[in-house]
Amino acid sequence: MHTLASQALFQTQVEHISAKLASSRGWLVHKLEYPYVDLSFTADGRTPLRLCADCSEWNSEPPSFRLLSAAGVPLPSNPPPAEISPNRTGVFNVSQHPTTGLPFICSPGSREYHTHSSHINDHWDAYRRQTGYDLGGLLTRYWHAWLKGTG
Amino acid sequence: MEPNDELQQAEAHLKQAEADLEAGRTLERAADREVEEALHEIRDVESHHPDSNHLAVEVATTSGFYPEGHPARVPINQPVADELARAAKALELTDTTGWVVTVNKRIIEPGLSYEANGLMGCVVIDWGPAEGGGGV
Repeated sequence: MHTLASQALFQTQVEHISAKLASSRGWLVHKLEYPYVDLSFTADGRTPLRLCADCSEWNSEPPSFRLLSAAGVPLPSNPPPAEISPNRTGVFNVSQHPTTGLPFICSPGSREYHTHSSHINDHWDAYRRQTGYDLGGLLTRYWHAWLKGTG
Repeated sequence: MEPNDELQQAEAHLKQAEADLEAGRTLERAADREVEEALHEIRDVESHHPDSNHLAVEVATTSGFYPEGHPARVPINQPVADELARAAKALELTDTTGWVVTVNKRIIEPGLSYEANGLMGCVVIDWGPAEGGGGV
């Protein structure tokens, strides 16, 4: 996708990730500027999880998500990070991704999922036009996974 | 003082009195407008406030909030799904199949009323897609 078209779509979709929504959900927004979405999920009694999404090529390609500590340090594979443990949903994968060597989001909508050898045939094209797979939808999915599967 | 002078003075007083009266009427009209605006604001605020039979409800999504600007006042015995349907229409959400409804991160049942879901007062209903599958 042309960069300008990608940027325009990005802007439209992050427009409603407002201070009001972030406050309501316990999200801390660090950066919302093409091509990056950088925010932390927070909740009482939980270790915050920070996600940094590189949305270059959005939405012909899914975002590449980095799983980070609140301080912005990439989560290690070992020991299992408190930020994504005990991971009841399986959405967060603590093993080393073949490309990044880091824990990753193992669910449709994450570039690391669609490029993993186990899901190489589950194409992003099948999802990208579906409701709930825009940027806000993806963040909401992973937020629900974090709420349900950790802490 | 000559009679002519008295007449001129009286006319001047009359003009001043008329000017004062007009200024007073202008102030009265401005005060009336302010009272009317204040009453309108009070009615507006009261119409969105919860009471023992109503909640103040907002629906939060990543496509925006519904209603925009202020909460809706809804009966406590109304199903949550009614407000979600209005939100879907206003925010142009075409397919919400399988979406999760939470209040303060607690999952609620949209087919039930606010009362049956244990909700009261001012409520923000968060609505969005579920986590979906995962795992390698």
